[in-house]
This record gives sequence, C-alpha cells and structure tokens, in this order.
Amino acid sequence: MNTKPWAIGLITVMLGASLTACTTKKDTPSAQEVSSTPKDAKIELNFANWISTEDATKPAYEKLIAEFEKTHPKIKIKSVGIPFAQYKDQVLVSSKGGNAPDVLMSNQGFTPAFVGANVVSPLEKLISADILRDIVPASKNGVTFNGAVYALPWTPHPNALFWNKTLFQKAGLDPNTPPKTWQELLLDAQKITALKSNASGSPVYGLGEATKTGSYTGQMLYRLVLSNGGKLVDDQGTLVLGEGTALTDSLNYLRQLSVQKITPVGAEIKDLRGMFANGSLGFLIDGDFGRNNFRTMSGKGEAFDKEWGVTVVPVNKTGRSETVFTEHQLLIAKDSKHADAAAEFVSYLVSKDALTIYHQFNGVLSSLTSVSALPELNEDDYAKVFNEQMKTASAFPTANPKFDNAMKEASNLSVLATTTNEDIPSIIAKVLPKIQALYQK
Amino acid sequence: MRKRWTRRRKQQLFGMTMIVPAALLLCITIVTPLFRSIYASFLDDSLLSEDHAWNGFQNYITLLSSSEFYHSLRVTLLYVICVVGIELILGTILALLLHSQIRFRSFFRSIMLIPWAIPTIVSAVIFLVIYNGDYGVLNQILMTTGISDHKLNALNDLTLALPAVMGVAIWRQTPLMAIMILAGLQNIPASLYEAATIDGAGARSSFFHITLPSLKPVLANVALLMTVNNFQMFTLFYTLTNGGPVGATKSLAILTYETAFEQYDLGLGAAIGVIWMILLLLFSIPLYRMAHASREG
Repeated sequence: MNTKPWAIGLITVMLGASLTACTTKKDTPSAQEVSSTPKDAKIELNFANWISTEDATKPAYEKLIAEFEKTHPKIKIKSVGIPFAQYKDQVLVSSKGGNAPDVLMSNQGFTPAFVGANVVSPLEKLISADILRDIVPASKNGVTFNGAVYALPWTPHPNALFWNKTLFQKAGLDPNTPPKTWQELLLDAQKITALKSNASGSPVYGLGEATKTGSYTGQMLYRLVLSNGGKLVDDQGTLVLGEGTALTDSLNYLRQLSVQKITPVGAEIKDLRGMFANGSLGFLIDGDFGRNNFRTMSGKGEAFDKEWGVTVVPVNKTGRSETVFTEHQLLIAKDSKHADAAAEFVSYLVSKDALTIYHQFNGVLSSLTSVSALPELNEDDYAKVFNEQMKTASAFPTANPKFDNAMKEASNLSVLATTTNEDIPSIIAKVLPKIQALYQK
Repeated sequence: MRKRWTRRRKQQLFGMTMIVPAALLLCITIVTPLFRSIYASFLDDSLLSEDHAWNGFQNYITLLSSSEFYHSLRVTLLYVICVVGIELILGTILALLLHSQIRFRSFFRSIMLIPWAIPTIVSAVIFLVIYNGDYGVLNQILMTTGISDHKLNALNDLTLALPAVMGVAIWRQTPLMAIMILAGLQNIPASLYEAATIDGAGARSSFFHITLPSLKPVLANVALLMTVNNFQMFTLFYTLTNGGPVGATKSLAILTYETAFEQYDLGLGAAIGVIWMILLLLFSIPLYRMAHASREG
C-alpha cells in the first residue's frame, strides 16, 4: 500500500471545495419581479453612499436619516458607507456579485457605469411623474439613457470662482471687484503671482488649475474647452474634442499658467483646496461645497469667510459664464426587494424638507426646479451665486460608460502641456487617438 | 508485518487529516481565485455586459498586440531590476558595516528596521510630502546644497517619477535586506577568515573569496523574496503617482487594476494577471534554484 489513494482522496476534496466555491449564485429576482414585503413587517433598506463617511457631510446625513425614519416608522435605513475613492469599484463589483444595495448614491461619472452594468432600475415606474418633470433640464439630460431616466438628480455642484481678498489687497487689486472676463482673470492672477510668497512664507500662485494625471484634471480641461467654444462630443455622441481650436487654446492657456508659474504644476484638487485655505492661491474654480471645505481646512471656521469671495466664472470666447457642474444622484438597484420603499426614500431625499435640512448643514443646492427656487435655498449671497452659476453650467456628457476613462486619458493632455516643451499639436496627436478609441462605437 | 503496516497507514491517515483544513483553506483563498482568474482570462468578461462568452485566446492576442502592455512590462521590469539590484548592493554594504566593530553598533542594528516596520502606504504618504514641489524637504536639500538651482516636481516629471517611486521602495526595503544579509554574515565561521589571514589574504580578497561565496544562498533568497515582493508592488505606485504622469509609472499592477476595475474588463485584466504570474515564475525559479543549489553545495 502506498500513499497514492490517500493523495487522490485529498486532491478530490480540494477540487470539490474549489468547484463548490466556483459555482455561481442563483440569480436574484429583479425589483419588478418581487412583490412587496408583508404590510406590517419592518423594511430595512441598504443605502450605499459616501457622504456618511466624510466629516463635512456626516451630520447632515444623520439628520436626514433620522427625519426620514421618524416619518416612515416601517422603514429602517442601513448605511453602507464607502469612501469616495473606492466607491464606484466596490458598488459595481458587489452589485454584479448579487449583493446590490437597495439605494445607491452616485454622481455623473459613476452613473453611466452603473447603468451600463445593468445593475440599476429605470425610475419612471417607481418615482412620481411630478418629480421627474421637475428635474432641471441640464440635469435630466445627464441621467437619461436610451430615453429612460435611471437616476434622480439630488444635489448639483456647479463650479464657480473663489477669490482670496487678502491676496487681492496685497497685490493692489480691489478685493470686492472680481474679474468678469478671462483676460481680467489672467491679469489679476499675474499680479497675485508677483507677490511670490504670503505672510507665512508659503509660495503664492495666482490661479489653481488641476494638472495631475486623473479624471478630475480631464474634467477641468473640459471646462476650459467649453469656455473656448469647444465640445467633447456632438449631439450624436461622436467625439469632437479635437475639432476647431478650443483644445489647442485651452492647452496653450495651461502652458502659459505653467511657464509663468501662475499655477502650481502637478497639483490635484485636494492640493489646490488646501492652498486656497492657507492663503497661497489667488483664484480657485470649485464647487459649492468649497465654503465648508475652506472653513475646515483653514482651521479658522466661519471667520475665514471674510477672507474670500465667490462669483460666477468669468466669460471667455463664448461670451457666457462657461462652467461645469458635478452632481450627486440617487439610483435604485434593479435587484432591490423593496423597490417601492426605496422609491419612497429617494423621493424624500430630493424633497423640499430634506433639501432644506441638507442646505442648512452644507449649503447644497437642489436639482429640482421648484426646490432650487425656494427662499430657504437662496437665503444668502453664497447660495445666490451658485444658483445663478447653475443657469449656465453644463452637465458632463457622460452617456458613454467610459467617460471617466476618457477624462483620465484627457488629463494627460494637461500634464504634457504643463510639464514638457513639446508643441501642443504634437501632444494632441499623441493623446487624442487614445480618447477616440474609448469613444469607438 | 501487518501490524506495522496498519500503524503506518494510521499515521498517514492522521497526517492527511491534519492537512485537510489547511488544504481547504488554501483551496478557498488561493487555488479557487487562481483557477477562476485563469478561466476568466479566456472570457469576454466585462462588468458592462451581460454576456460573458468564451473568447479563446482573444484577450491574450489583444494584450500581446498592445503597446500599453509592453510599456507596463518595461516599467515593471525596470523597477524590479533596479530596486532589487540597488537593494542588494546597499544591503550588503550596510550589513558589512553593522558586522564590523563600529561604535553604537547595537543601536544602529535596532533602528535599522524602522523603515521596514512602517506600513507601505504610510511610507508613500511620507514621501508624498518629502517630494512635494513647493514644500518638500527634498527640494530644500537640493537647493541649499546647490545640487539643483530649481525646484523639482519629482512625482509629476516624466523622467523622475519612476526613480522617485524606486527611491521609496529602496528606502523601505533595504533595511530588511541588510538584516538578512547580516544574519548570513554572522554564520560564516571566523576560522575561515583566520586561515585566510595566515595565508596572507587581504580584506578585499577575503570578501571576494570567503564572504561573497558564503553569502550566496542568503543573497539568492533575499533577491527572490524582494523580486516577488516588488513584482507585486501596487501600493507605492497607486498612492504616489497612480500610474502617472502620462503612464510613466504604469506598472503591470496598475495596468491590471485600471483594466479590470476602471475599464471593467475583467477578462483582459485576468489575462494580464496570468501573464504577470508566468513572468514572476520565470524570474523566481532560477533564483530559487540558485539558492537551493548553493545550500546543497
């Protein structure tokens, strides 16, 4: 007798275990196929989000959930908090693996991927027609895929221009007169850059533009392209980024900022926010959550509000204040067993009551026309500027599920323009084909 | 005879039973994902599609005809060869210093392992600050010593980014290398050096004819360990540069992550993983054999 039979037995057990682990999960029924839970049973909804993981938004999140549970005693919200950086990947993988949360928070970059992966449900049968009709048109375009609305826009975040009043004064500029045109912006930024350092000895830059490889940098390049009269895609979704002079003009502008040391090269948005908060950046184009971020990052709280102002983005070649808006959105999983309760929760989150709470905590806006016009959401100049900016802000053209990848690839244009001497047409010729490959139909 | 045979069989059964939990655990945690990955590499397995059809070698064909893959392979090989090579040289020098009669030897030996004890992600964050173009210590040192007349933006520079990542890896891993080589040095019998001295050998001759040959198994083992470790390096690349600027630090680990979790192409991502594993084996087997042969010799 040798050990062979035993070895075979052991291998059989191992293979058996492997095969068991390899078997796929039985498909779960979809939201439409599942009947509702018995009337008296308490429903638990899993809500995947990142706002419960961030200090700035956690108090608002807790208040919103508490208020909802108070008015809906039969529904309990279980938070599935995932940090923003890992959010898309984790939600996508868990949803495809059959563990989708009932309600998903999302943004304009993530939603196309969730829709493309077929893990979310169209909302027409779940959300009232009144709410869907009330969505701001620019927002509605961004959440409509093949004619169906898949996400409910929640809070839009248009990017406006923040300026540092202290640096304005030191540079001999009127701290209460921000630039109205692109030329004025550049001149003011040059004067601030000439200060070289601030009171604490940190280097001073006139204007912050993101120039580090990453999709955010690509999105900010898209903002520049818009202001120079260009587009990313046409109405048919065909890539037109390289057409005309908008892209070349935008990259030349970034190169000028880099050569004249007006912008810190290689910075990403978190670096720029930190620099604005510590008084070493003259201008920053950022979203409406900027105020809270700057209060926290400066360490001065509300007192820091006196040191900066906010206004709409200066006009450039198109003659209007071109900017972009990011947007937090809400989706319902296709496999949710409690689709009706999920719809009730989502409807609450976009309601006047919820937005008033959220606005009080974080100054956010609403993507519903009726709610955004409420006096409660326009109570100060800060809110008014962002509501005004929202009128000319463009949604990102995110219909392509690989939009985020395209933006990451586009960021290489900004990086090469600011870190090399290569001529701009060569840079475009090198990078554009990679973006075009992502848009091939 | 029959009794002895039965006892042996019982012992084998007992031994096998003891192995089963570990074998099952290995199945679930290593063997299963490995086979699933290999299987996935033959599928058109995209998270954005419902159809996960068998597509034969298409993922491998796509990969082997893509310039991006060869670029990542070149970045990975350059990184591994430079990091392991420099670590071997620095580690040996440090070990020799710590083995010699220097003052505060025990103190230096104790603090040596601090960089290794720091988690990789923490090291990366520390070096993000050190390399910062405006506030980083590196620029202050370079400019005050006159080595550079302008600020460097190491992590955003197409030519400096990869050496900058290598620098962090070398800083963190060299101490472990040195400690392991030091252990090897301490095992070389002093009598060999005494005999060499009597025969008139100098320090240089002793190093090349006694120290290095005696250290061969240790050096092969640490080289193997560090090669495997660095081939798999993801944290440093992801945290410091995320593969940028413009792909200058896009290693195979970053390419796999991007393909599988940013472009949602799990099939192609798995194919990169399989090729990556084969390459790692090709690198590791000669090193393993060298270590094994030296030990037997």
